[in-house]
Amino acid sequence: MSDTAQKDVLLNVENLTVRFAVKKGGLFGQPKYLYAVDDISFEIKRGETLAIVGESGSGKTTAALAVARLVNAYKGRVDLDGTDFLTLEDEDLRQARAKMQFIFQDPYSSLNPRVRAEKIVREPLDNLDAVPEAERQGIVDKLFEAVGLHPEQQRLFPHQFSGGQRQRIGIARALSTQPELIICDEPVSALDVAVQAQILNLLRKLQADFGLTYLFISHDLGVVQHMCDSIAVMYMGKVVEYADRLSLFNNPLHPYTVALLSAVPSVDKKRRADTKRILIPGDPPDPLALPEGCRFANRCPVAQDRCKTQQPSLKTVATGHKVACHLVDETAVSPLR
Amino acid sequence: MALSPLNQRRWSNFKKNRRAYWSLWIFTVLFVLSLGAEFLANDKPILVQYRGNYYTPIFNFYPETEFGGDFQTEAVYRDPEVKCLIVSGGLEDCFDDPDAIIEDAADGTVNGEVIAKGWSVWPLIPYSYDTAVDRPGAAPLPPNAQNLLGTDGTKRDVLARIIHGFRLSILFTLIVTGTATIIGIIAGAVQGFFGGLTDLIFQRVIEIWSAIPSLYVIILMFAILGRSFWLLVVLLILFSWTGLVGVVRAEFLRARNLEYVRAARALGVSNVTIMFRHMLPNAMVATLTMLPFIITGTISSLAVLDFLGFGLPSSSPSLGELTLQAKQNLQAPWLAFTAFFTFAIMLSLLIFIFEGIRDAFDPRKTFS
Repeated sequence: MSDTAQKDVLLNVENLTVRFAVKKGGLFGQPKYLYAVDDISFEIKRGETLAIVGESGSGKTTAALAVARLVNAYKGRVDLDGTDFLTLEDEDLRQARAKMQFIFQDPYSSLNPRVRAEKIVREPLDNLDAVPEAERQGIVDKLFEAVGLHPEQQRLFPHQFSGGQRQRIGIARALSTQPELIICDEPVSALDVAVQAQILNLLRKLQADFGLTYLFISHDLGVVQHMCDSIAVMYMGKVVEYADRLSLFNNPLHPYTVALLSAVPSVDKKRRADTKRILIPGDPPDPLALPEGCRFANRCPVAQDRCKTQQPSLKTVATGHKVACHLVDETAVSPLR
Repeated sequence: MALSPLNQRRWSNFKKNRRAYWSLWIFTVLFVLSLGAEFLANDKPILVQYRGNYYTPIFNFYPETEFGGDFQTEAVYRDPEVKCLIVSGGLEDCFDDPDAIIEDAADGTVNGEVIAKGWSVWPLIPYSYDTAVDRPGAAPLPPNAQNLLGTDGTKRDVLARIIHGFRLSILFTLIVTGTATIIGIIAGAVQGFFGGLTDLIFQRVIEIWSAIPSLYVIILMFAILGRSFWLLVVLLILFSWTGLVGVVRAEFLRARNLEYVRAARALGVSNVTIMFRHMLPNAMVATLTMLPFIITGTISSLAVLDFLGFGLPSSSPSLGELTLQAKQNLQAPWLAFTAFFTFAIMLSLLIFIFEGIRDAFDPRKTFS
């Protein structure tokens, strides 16, 4: 990571918290809050890819939506290239959105069924008025070429495309504003495996061609390993481990991460034999009644008494490796070893 | 304009519903015909040729003096004297014995002298909706060759009134439903799109608004401002726009969290564009389902108001007023039958058409 250390930070997220009011006891009752994302921080350097991984309900998608201001954050800072994205309003926000784009999980519902492909890609251009009208068609043509679609497909409606092609339209749409950061919310989880690989390779190629930075949300560690420079593992709204790709995959420290990695199937016989499958019994805790201590304590195979009473903070244990676990110290050895 | 594949499919689905398809045709023909009601039933000729000049009395005002008469007022074209003046080219003798001169002038000469023979083209029904028919007997008069559907209590031709009344009903309904639908859609869209507090407050306002007894307000406003077509239009719009709000609001509440709406928001698309380009077309099906009820409801409420005597001014050709006359003159069944069949046919045609439209828009319905 020595060469990337000089790169400047494009996105810096600090103490981001998102909560939803769940229930009100009567008209004047106190609302209960569900903390979907609880005080998380991360940063992405220009041209790199950060993955947020976690199981369903861990808050990874909500975190991404909050960064893009598609849901309102309760508190925190989202600095994109030096400006706090969360404080922008109305017209400033509309213009600033050009720098941060979103690729959605489901290519079937993220395209308006009544709008033609070319119009979908062109809409951001029409909207932001950054490009003169005459040049817009040319940009659309270039984007279609860049994502590997034929120009004659511009006139078609979304339902006339396959899932992979639809996701390509989604990518072209995200690229049309010439963004610096693209948030990919599980961009391949709705596609079958062969198409997944095509889309992932396309994303990597586009990253190289356009100098893009990705915030990549996924639950698929295989995909993450292929795509990312650094990884944040989320559990119940908290980041439990945050490291660069190599140190996370070679030396996972948090018991949850270890269990997660041990669940990745492998075709390599030797690796299969080496990996001890770690089972985590039980279910995640009720997000409305979170435990006092570590949120993973009730499922952790090595949990101690203090895990149930004290919440661990995210601390740096080795260069570029942060983990939130009481049982990991500066020696950076997983408690499961 | 080329139809999108989706709309082509809908149109072919609609055509497969024969009842709806033919209803649409019959209704279109009837409506287009009634749009030209002045040329179908009027007490003025469509075209007059008088001494080599052409006159169009439906569009222009001509005093009687134009045709050699005495009065500065508009020529009464149904008068035998005026008819005679036109045919004979303005002979003075017309004031003494017009019928004889009209007969005599058929060959181009009167009493052996050559005259400037004129002619006039009359509509099929030579009465307008407010023309008093010149026929002996006590009104209402039964149907005969002169009045195909008889006359009403004030000796006005029923067929002429039906033709004008049909147009009035349909136009009234189109204006009221069209405006009410647009207002309703905008209100529902705003409510559903923004949700939260906007929705809550708006919804309470609508509840209060729809609790106002509209009939009383209409009676009161008519008493204060006097009866008029446009006042009734405005009042009915004010009380009928709430009908669609619920449906559109529900559709928008559902659509606001769809991913393509989120995508549009992430792209920096303005709220108005998201609402009307991305969400409304997809909410249109539910809206269309409601529309036939609103349209037939508006036609009926106009008829009801007229029947109660709180509707349009009594001189206007209204179907509700015809129904009222039918009730008052039970000895003249042609009034009741005419009113009944007019309503039955008009409402059935509309229901059939909209039934077809609704089915054609239903993506789950398959057609053989």
